[in-house]
Amino acid sequence: MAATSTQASLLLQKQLKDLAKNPVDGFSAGLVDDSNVFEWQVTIIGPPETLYDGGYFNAVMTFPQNYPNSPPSVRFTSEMWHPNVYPDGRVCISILHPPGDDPNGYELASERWTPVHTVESIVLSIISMLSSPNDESPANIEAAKDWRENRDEFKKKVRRLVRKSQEML
Amino acid sequence: MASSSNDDDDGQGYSDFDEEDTLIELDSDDEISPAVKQNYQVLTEDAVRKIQEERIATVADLIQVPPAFAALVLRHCNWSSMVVQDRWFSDERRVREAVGLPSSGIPVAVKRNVVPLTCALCFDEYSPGQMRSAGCDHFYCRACWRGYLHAAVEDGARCLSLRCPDPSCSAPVVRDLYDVADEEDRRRYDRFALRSYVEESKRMRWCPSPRGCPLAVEYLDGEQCKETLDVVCSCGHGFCILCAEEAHRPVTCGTVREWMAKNSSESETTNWVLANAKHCPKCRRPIEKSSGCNHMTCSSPCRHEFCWLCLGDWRPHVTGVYKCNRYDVDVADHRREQAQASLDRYLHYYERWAAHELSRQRARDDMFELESALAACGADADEAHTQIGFLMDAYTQILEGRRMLRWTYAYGFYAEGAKLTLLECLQGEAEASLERLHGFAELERNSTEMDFDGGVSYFKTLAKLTKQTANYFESMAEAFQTDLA
Repeated sequence: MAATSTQASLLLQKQLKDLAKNPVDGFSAGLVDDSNVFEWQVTIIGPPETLYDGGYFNAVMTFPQNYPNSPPSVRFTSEMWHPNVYPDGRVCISILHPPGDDPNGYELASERWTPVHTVESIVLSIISMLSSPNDESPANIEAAKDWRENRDEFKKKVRRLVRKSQEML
Repeated sequence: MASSSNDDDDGQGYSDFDEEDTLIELDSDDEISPAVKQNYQVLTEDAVRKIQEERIATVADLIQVPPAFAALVLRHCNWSSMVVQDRWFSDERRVREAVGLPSSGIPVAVKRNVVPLTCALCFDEYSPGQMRSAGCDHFYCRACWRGYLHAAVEDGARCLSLRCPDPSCSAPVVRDLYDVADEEDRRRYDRFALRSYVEESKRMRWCPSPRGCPLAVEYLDGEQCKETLDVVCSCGHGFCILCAEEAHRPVTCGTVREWMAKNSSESETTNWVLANAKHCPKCRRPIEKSSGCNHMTCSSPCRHEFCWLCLGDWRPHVTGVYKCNRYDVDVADHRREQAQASLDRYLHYYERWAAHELSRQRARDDMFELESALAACGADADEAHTQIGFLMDAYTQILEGRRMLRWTYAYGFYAEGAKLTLLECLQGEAEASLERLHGFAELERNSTEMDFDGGVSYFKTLAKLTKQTANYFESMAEAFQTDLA
């Protein structure tokens, strides 16, 4: 265990340094607490030309001791309204599912968690989730219903939380 | 009792059974136990491993891929070489795609880097030869592979269908790559591979004995066992190789499943039905009133219209004098009786199903005693040896009979009409015969000192009864294949 958790923290430190040196458009990332490399604070900027455009959404990524062999969990701390985000903020996308969750291999290989994923590739997946919700296996059923049947209501709710996120800055 | 009886004493004890004409005709040369062809074998883990390796080697030779990949293809085809032959030679490409092999050519299990590369998992640099791939072009360092393999093994049998870590690559990770894994992970991988052979094969099953048994049973007639087949593991546990439930010949797996489900839910269901449902007065189907007025219409095909309150025909409620409000003692009693009757019927079958198992368990304990007695008497006590042999045969038949009878009650609960009548007839004969045999066998068990002079006729009768009982059960089992099927 000790060996793997050292491996995980080295890898996370390396990614932290890389992201500080070469920031990526669309989000910023850092540690919640400088003494703990397993808990990250990221701020995602609502992608342009989507309902979330202009919003600043905070999320916490929590990495397991055996990262990268298991995925982190990601939870929005800012208010969020999206079919693939649980009401408590947890993000539900397939690449964050532990690989063992799908013993039959029905999910495509490219959709499962694999150790090649980094903070950057995970956040980019979340940004892409914001621009194209998947309402087939929703985490927030109400939001999925709104998205499918009552798009105006959905837009209204999202616009309100975008404004709220700007005020919180 | 038995010890005080002798040949001349026809008036008491078991003498009734001495009369030849009450018995089904016997051919005294026949074996007493029913001769069933054994179409299965019991295997230890080592034997399973050996068969698995042979099968993999054969298939590797047949489809011309290394054994590690042949194992993948076999597993994809539920470990059936016949299915491999069918699928591979009709659509090789599709099989290759399904298990992640390149669309043609001989797959390679492990490749090493020939130029310096960065490991895509830890981002460190490695010189040539230090990295490995699953035969594809995605190379990772030993430490990252070790972690990747460890995580897969931790997840269980998923490690058997592991692919290259690159999300766009489907190259399978086979046993050869586990050379870089920890020894413990390698051992666990081998174990999952072995278990998969038994668990995913349609012709094998681990012995499901509740006492824990490491043996496996393999069906030998063809690739797949298709109907109820009772097998007895070397540990003594009898089970159906098709459904893993305890041995239940002659009743089908479906009836057993339904009956077991009923037993586990019955206590709740009965209460719920009593509290919330009424039976349609015409077809007896239980009906729940979920909303609305008291005008009920039973569902198709019955369509009977009745009043929820009085359970009477609905028509008089609208055309005649409305009298639902008057308490009628007879009707209320009738309704209670109706619910009670349905419960009584279930309990009738349940009680007998459970009782035969208890009797069987007691008979089994007796048989264990006999076995040790048989072991204790040396080869010199020839006569005692033969006599205990007769008793053993009787007990074998008693155990089998109790078990079969038990399950015929599960069948009986669901049977109706002519089938029920036929079952009750055969079941009655078999049961009566078995009770006679069991009681007679227990005469000996309960007597303290056996008088062997008197015993000769006792054992003769015992053998006849055993044979007779066996015949009754065999004809009942046959009926389950034909008229009761």
